[in-house]
Amino acid sequence: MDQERLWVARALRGDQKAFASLVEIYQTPVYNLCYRMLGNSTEAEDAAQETFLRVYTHLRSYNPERKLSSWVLAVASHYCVDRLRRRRLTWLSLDEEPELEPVSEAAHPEEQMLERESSSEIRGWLQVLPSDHRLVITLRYWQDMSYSEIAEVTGTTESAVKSRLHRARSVLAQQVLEQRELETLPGGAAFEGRKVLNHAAL
Amino acid sequence: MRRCEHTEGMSLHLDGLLDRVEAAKLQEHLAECEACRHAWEAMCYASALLEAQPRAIPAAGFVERVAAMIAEREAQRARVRSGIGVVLGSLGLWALTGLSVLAAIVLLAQPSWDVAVLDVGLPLLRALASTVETFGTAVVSVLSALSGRSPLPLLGYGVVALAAAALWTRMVLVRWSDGRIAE
Repeated sequence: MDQERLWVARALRGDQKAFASLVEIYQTPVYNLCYRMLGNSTEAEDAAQETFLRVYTHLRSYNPERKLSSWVLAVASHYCVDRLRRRRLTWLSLDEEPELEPVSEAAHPEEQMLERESSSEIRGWLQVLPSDHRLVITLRYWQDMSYSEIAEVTGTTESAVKSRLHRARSVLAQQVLEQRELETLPGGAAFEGRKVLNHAAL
Repeated sequence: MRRCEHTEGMSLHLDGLLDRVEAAKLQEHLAECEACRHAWEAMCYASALLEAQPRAIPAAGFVERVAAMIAEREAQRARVRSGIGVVLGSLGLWALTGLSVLAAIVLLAQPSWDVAVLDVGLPLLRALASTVETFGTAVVSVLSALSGRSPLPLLGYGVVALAAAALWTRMVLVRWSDGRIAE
C-alpha cells in the first residue's frame, strides 16, 4: 500500500515508470472487469487501455484516503457502462476467446474443454443482464469484493447492491432452469422454480 | 404468477450474510416449497459456475502498450500546448501592435492632443537618442582603449556575436527536428 502511494506520488510528478508499475498491478483486475462487462476481448483491451489513460490523466483528482483499487475499478466501470450505452445496435462477436488464468497446471484436455464451454455459457448469461447488474456480479465474483466495496465502486448504497445482486442472481438462475427445462420435460418442478425467480427478477 | 418472498434471502445466504435464525427459516421454507428449492439449486449452480470461472488476463505486452499510448498522448499534449503558445504570442503581438497603432491614430487625430503629444514625445525621443549615443560612445571608447589602433578586438566581438547567433539558431533547429522525429 505504501509502495502504491509512492508510485502515485511519483506518477503525479510525471514519472511514467512509476505509473507503469501501477498498470502492472492493476492490469488483470481492470482487463477482467472490462472483459466481463463487454464480453469481447478486443473491446476489453481497448477499454482497459482507455481506463489507464483516464487514470493517468485524472490522477490529481484521486483522493489518497480512498483505496486505489476501488478508484481504478470505478473508472473502468464507468467507462464500460458508458460504452455499453453507446453500443446500441452494433452487434459484436462473442466468439473471441481471451487468455484465461489456468485453474490448475495439471488440467486435462477434457477439463480444459469443459472449462471453455462453461466460460462461453457464462459470457452468454452475462450479456443478458443489464449493465448495472452485470457490474455487481463481476465485482462480487471476480474481484471478490464485499457489498460496501461494491457500493463504493459503483457509487450506490449497500442496499442497492444487495438488491441488484439478488435480481442478477435470479436472472442467472432462471437461465439455468430454462436450460434444464429444455433438457428435460417442460412444465415440471424446474418450471415452477423459474416462475418464482421470474417474480424475483422483476 | 407464483410469489415467494424468500429469493432475496437466498442471495444473502449465498454470501453468508444471513444469521443462524434467518438461515434456519430459509432452510425450513426450502424443505416445504419445491419451487423455491429448485430456484435455490439453480442459484447455487449459477453461483458455483461463476466462482469457478478464472479471471481473464490481457495479452502479453499490455503494460508496454499502455506506456506507449501515454507517451504518445503526452507528446500530443506538448505539441498542442506549444502550438497554443505560439498562436497566443503571435496574436498578442499583433494585438498590441494594432492597439498601439490605433492609440497613436486616435491621439494624433485629436487637435488638442497632438500638441501635448509633441510636447511630451519630442523631449522623450531626444532623451532616448542621447542615451543611445552615450552608450555607443562608451562601447566605442572601451573597444578603442582595449585595441589601441588594432581592429582585432572589434573583429573578436563580431566573431563572438556571430557564434552566439549560430548557436542559438542550431538550438532552435535541433528542437524543431526533435519534434518532427517524435511525430
